[in-house]
Amino acid sequence: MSFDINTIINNMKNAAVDAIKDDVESIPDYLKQIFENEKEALKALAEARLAGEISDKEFQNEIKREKEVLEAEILTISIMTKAIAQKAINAAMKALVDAIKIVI
Amino acid sequence: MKRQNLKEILTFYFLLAITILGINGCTIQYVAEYDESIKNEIIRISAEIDKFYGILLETAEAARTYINFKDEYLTIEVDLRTLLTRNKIRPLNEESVKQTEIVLDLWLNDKEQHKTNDSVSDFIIKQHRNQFQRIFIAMAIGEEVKEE
Repeated sequence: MSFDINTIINNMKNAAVDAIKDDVESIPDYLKQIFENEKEALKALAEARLAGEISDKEFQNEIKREKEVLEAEILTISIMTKAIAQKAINAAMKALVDAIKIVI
Repeated sequence: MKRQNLKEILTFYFLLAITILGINGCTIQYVAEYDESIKNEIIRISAEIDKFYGILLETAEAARTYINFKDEYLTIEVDLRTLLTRNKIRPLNEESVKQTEIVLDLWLNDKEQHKTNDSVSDFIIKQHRNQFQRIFIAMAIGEEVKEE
């Protein structure tokens, strides 16, 4: 029975990296999209207020709404990061179990 | 028993224990299980709200009275409350619950504004249509990433 801990740890690390590679790369793109959306919305709001298309009261209400929209969008980043951590840990543990099955 | 034999036996049982845990599907879970029906419901309600704003936009501003749209507000409110309940009963689902609470809050805010002003401007319709679309896309992505 041989148990090469260095090989197993390396396999676990590789399994974790492979499992989450694409997901990790998608986060900055999605964050960029969120703030692009926000920029467009705030620009439209500012222009509408300056043109007198909406009142100050409506403007304040819209700013409050935008804050909530941004919060909802950012919450998806939180789900993404949790799902990534979950995938990484489970892939690493599967690599460990697979290696042990071979040993025993 | 020799020290070397004892070490080998302990290692064997340690490896066996980890293997049994692995075989039994002992996996770590930080987010709720993926639910395709929830994702479909998010997309359905998103389309329902988009249609609501489309009709509102097609209606002449003078005819955009609250009473003409009261039933649609109520139908969509019920759909959102049902989605909230479905999300609340799923464990490890705090973010999706919060997102649905935000959508509901915005919808009720819309309804109150419409009731108070008894009309809605083209600008507000377009702005709110866009806000809901952004949140529903975020919610659909949030559900999709739960899929292993």
